[in-house]
Amino acid sequence: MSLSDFLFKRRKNKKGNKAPEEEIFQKDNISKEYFKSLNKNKKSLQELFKDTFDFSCDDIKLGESKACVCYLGTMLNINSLTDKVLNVPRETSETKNPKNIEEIRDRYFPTIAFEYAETFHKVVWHILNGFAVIMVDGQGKALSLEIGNIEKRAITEPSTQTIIRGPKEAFTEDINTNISLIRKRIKNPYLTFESSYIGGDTKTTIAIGYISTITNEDILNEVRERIEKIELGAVLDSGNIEEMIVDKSFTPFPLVFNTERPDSICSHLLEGKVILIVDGSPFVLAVPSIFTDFFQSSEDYYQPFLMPSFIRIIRYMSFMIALVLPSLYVALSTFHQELMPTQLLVSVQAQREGVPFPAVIEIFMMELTFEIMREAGVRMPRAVGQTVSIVGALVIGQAAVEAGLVSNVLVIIVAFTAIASFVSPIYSFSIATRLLRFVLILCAAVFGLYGVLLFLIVMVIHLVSLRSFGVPYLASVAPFKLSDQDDVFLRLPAWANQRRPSYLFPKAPNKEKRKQRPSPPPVKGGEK
Amino acid sequence: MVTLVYFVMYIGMLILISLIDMFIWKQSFFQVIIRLFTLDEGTNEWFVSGTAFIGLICSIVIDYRLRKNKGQKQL
Amino acid sequence: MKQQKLMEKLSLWQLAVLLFTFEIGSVAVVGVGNDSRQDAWIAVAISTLLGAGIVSFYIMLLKRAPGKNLFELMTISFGKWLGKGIGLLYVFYFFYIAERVLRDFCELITTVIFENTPIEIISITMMGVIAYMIYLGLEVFGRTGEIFIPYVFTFTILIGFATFFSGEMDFKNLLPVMAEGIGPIIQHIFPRLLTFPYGELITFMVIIPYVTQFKKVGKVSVITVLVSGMIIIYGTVIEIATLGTEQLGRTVFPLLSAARDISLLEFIERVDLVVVFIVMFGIITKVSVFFFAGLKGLEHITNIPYRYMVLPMATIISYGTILISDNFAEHVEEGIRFIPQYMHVPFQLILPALFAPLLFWRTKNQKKGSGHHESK
Repeated sequence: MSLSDFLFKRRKNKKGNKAPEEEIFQKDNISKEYFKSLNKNKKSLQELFKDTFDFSCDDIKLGESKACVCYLGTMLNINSLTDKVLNVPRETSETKNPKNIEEIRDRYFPTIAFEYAETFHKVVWHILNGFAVIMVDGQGKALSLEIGNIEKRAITEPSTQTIIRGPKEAFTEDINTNISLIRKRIKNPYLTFESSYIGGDTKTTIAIGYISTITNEDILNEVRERIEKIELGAVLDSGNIEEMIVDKSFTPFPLVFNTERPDSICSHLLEGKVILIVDGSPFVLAVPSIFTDFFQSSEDYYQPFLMPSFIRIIRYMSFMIALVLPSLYVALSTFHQELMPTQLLVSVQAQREGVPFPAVIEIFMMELTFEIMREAGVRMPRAVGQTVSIVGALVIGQAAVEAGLVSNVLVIIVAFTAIASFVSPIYSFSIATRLLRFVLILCAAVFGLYGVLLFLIVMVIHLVSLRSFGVPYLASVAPFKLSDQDDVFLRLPAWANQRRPSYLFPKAPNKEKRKQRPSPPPVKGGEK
Repeated sequence: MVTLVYFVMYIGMLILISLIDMFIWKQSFFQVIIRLFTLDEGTNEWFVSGTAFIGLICSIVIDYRLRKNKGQKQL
Repeated sequence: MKQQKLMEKLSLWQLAVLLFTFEIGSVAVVGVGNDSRQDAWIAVAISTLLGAGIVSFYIMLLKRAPGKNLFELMTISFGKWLGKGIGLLYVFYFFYIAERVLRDFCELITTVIFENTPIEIISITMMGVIAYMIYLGLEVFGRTGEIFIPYVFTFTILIGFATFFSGEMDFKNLLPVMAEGIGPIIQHIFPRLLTFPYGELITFMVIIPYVTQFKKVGKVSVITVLVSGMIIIYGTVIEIATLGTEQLGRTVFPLLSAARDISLLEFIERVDLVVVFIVMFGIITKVSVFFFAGLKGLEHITNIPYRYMVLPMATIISYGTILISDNFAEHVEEGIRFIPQYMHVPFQLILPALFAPLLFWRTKNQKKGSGHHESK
């Protein structure tokens, strides 16, 4: 079965030959033409940036010809600009008139990274990106010089996906830094990054990364096409485009994997996935992503295989616990007391004796309280964090029980559910369980266990019908594939785990061909 | 068309059920039909009758949409 | 013309999964062969073998015209109008059986677990889930089966072990073997046992054409039928050994009654829920298969894509589920006295046997014709 059967619809790839910069201002009301006359260009630039205080257009003389340097003072390092550009023509002693722009560059700025801008659009684009653009009178194109960086955040440890053993770097907001973090790990000439610009107002850079010898063409084309189709005003984070490229947005489950760990992204690349880096976002996306991806932490691969396998099972279990535990409590305590073992039933009922609410109200109250506390905990300033945790734990937890508003069992359940929901290594997945939990509680309140079962079946049907870039969301479980089971519920040791997942239809199915199970060297006879 | 299918299935189902009831209870056709249509006291048969009615409305809506689509493009 | 890509396909494994859950679904609710008392398992074993025969007969029919389902086969053999007419009868049959199966489950839920809930609600909600699944297509159906099969399988096996270790089983209940000779057993096999779990596989004549590796279908289905037969025998043995023939004769839901005797470590008691889960998924599979088969029939007759008809037909089925009988006694009565003889046998055995020769004759001509073509 080829991938084209696999994808819902396969559209023709029509990747434009035009450089993206050419099209970038097409929708804005900016003239495209770059004139030979310096004054004309200067005028239109000044018209464009007229009220901006940080835009400067300094006249300089390059030999005999008039020129001017245009830049946004806030987007580049002014000191190096002065050193490298503004002072240079004065220091250069030669007086011979340079013929063309190439010669100018050769003579005056031989050490600076550069680009030529043939159109006015490109000039504007370069200025916006922090280049210093030198326009020379009588030349058909401008020279853009890359001066130096604006401030960016240093590479730090990941704040959302922490691990104990393994690389500690995290992506930052700068796309070039992020790409370098990936390239540092995968030294492979076939690792390719294609860039495009999205967002009518923000013109955000997006890089599509893949390893061309591994990634399947059909998936890649699908990604390119969906990216091309995006029409958004603003892209401020990878989350913005995530919703635009998924197969189905009406679902609580994340269909795009996001992480801030370079090592995790690299392993996805090496499996044959396509990654999307959005400038300004430390969260890099990987597609197609499937259900089981969200239960895998990169640390699983850095520890000996037995423990990670166990941990994975724990993760799946805690997913189920986070989902159904409160609703089970509701169903059992209101509808099916007879299903509980007698001892347990007695103690649960004894605690519930003074509680004035039915179990549903009780649990809804506590779950909502917890959600509020969690939200407050995320949003509030660090300094008041302590207060909230004390108020939350003591007042709401203990006092509510002592006041007889809720039972002790319930507090245990809510707390346990909350903790279990944090186990998923990817935060966006635990959001899904939070939402579904409330629906499940409602189902349990109305139909009891039957409702819970019914809802779970509906959820599975929904999960099974989801696709991420044409790949079934529950791939390798449904549709079942025995050869992919080496890295789903268990993580088999690395020597047994050499096949790339088949649902991605990688061009090179095996990571390494040789079986390399380690074994002690053979004991030679006679020697000791 | 869907509405037609709906009625065919509905009536066919009624006839089938009443035939079986006739066989089991040895009653006449009309007795059986009347028994089928009376809502028994204390049951919630109107739930399912209501659902079936919703199904009828659905089929009419689907028919309407199908026809509209046909008018728009030859599919 | 429909695009090839839009054609939905099942894998062999998914087919096996669906067959398996289909077989043990209803059987887990009502149990089979209870009339044969302690020899029920022998009756099941024999009928399993016969069932494998029936299935291979169905698949032989399908192989005459690959890619065509039951309704298309009938059009081929009976001609357009008669074929569609008989197809409509089959649609009624499938829908009616879907209603019966669903009713079994509704009764189980309302009498055992959920005394206070109106049966109508169960019927509507179940049908809602099934409609949702069928609307999403055959692929989704197959994959849902794949997700649940490990649970269904392990729970079924575990129930046996749990009853055994609870010390509730008494294998003396299985004796004497064939005290009254083979006669009564055969009477129970035909028509009831043969048609109830196995003959109903005629619905798969609508599904099997969508399997990707059509060549291996025969082998896979026969093996699956045999495996599921073994599970049914296993279940029957549990039921007989745990409940004894007397109680087995009285109880309506034997597997559930057997599971209620489980008591392990003084903590694992009342595992009804597990049984209900097995049963629930089995029933969903079974009703879905019948429902899908009926819808495909309607699609064939009316040329409207079946997705448009899912919702209206689902409401009719949930309506019919309640209407088919006033109470459970009547329902069971119909199941014993009417359904096997007058519905199962004609639709599962007589009609296929009738159109088999016609089909052979028609496809023979076709094959000759095409062969002629190729040789030129």
